[in-house]
Amino acid sequence: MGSLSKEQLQAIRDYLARQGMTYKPLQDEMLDHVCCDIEKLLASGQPFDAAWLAITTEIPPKQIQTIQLETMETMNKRESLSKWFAYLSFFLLFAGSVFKLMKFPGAGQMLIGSFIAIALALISGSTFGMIANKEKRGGWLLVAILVGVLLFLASFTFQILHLPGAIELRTMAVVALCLSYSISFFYLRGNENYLLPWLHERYTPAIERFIFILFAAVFVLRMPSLTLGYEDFVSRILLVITIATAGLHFHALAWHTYKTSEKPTLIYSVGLSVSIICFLLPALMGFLSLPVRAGLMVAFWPIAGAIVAVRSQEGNMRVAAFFSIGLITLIHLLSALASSEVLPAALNAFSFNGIVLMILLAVLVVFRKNPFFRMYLLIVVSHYLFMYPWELGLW
Amino acid sequence: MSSSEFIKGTLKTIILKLLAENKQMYGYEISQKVEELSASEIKLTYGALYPVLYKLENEGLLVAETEVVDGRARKYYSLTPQGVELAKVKVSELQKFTETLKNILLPAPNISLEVWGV
Repeated sequence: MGSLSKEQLQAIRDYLARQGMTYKPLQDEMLDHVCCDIEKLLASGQPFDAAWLAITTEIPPKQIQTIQLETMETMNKRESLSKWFAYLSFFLLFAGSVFKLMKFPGAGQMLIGSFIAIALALISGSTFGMIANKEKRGGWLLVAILVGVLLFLASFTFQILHLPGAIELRTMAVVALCLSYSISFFYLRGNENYLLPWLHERYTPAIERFIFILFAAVFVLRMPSLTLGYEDFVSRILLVITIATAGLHFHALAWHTYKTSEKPTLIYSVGLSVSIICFLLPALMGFLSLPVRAGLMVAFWPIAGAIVAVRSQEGNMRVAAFFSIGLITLIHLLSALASSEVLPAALNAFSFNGIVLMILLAVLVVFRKNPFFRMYLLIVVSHYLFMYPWELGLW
Repeated sequence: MSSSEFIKGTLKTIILKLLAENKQMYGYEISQKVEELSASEIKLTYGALYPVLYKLENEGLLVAETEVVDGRARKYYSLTPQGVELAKVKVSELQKFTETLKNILLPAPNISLEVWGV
């Protein structure tokens, strides 16, 4: 046993993903099962290609997709409380966005209700996870991250209600999240049985669904302000929440890679810690000026993007990924130079326009299959939408 | 034999029984064990096995631990104390049910001959 190469493992994983098995824990398990089946045939003297053909022929069409659907249904029956809170938050978010577009009163209250529902979904899901998995380690790390996320949501609620203390809450949230994520990158080790990556992996499809629905809502909400030329406060806050949630999820995906490496190298852990700090620092608007934040983006995003592209893409797709990263870097660089008054602000019209926005959306669709890269690109597009009115001097 | 229709209702008990006898097992190992014990009469498909394993884990009857073997993650399942108890109950229930089924499926006695004391 153990005769399959890295490329063969990747080919099997790609096949499973193409067949609709995208839920990572189940995909890992099916990968192991299929590999064992193939290794059994290899041991009987068959070459890999013949063994692979025999296994794939035996699998009825759509079966892999059905396994995932049935498994997800089984799991969703259980976490009903957090699921209902998540539905409530979607509903309030959708209703709040429609109210905002129609200029009806109560949109702000609905958004705050949506934040509260998100908070309750997170609290109930985490509490259930901790009670049901007492044997798993590191529950305190889950609590620390949960506190950081709740503080983050509270800071936006304060901001919408124009209450004092929003910046202080945001600062506390950023410190809590930077610390707890950095500790997690050093504390989590190889095969051990930790609660945090286990729960995150389990909820990954729901988290991604939430992020994409949030993105779709905010995209629609943002369109009038971009086309008619004004800045919209609510869509700006929702964009920051989209970016923050997607970024936290993007970094949390790295926990899953710890399972397949016995001991993550010190450089890997340090790199991830620096990455999350660089990512969260721009959220401290009160403490960092725009040029500093823009500088952080210019320095950090191409590096993060290049690492993700090298790790997740091959051949022509890797070339296309680097081309996209080049475009993103150029946009960030131009906006940073213009905001520092090194270049004339009028140059921003070349990077912030409908055509570039469409190209970025197309790139997101092209690279939608890789969880790391799609999350990276979703952050990029959200950030682009956030900066758009600012760069064109619309607010 | 078309075993799949019979397997559906009993797979949960089969998995609990196997895990009660073996400290921990992974998906492929479970399917191989079932094939071996049934002399290749029962072959578990991926589609039958994994939804049930996740269901049992969700119900708190199994716990899973992941280990890296040959560069891939392998998930080992074992019974929780609650799972151990349920395994005993389910196996006993299935045994009783099989006995009942056996009685039903026995050929019916020939009444006419019985009347004549044969």
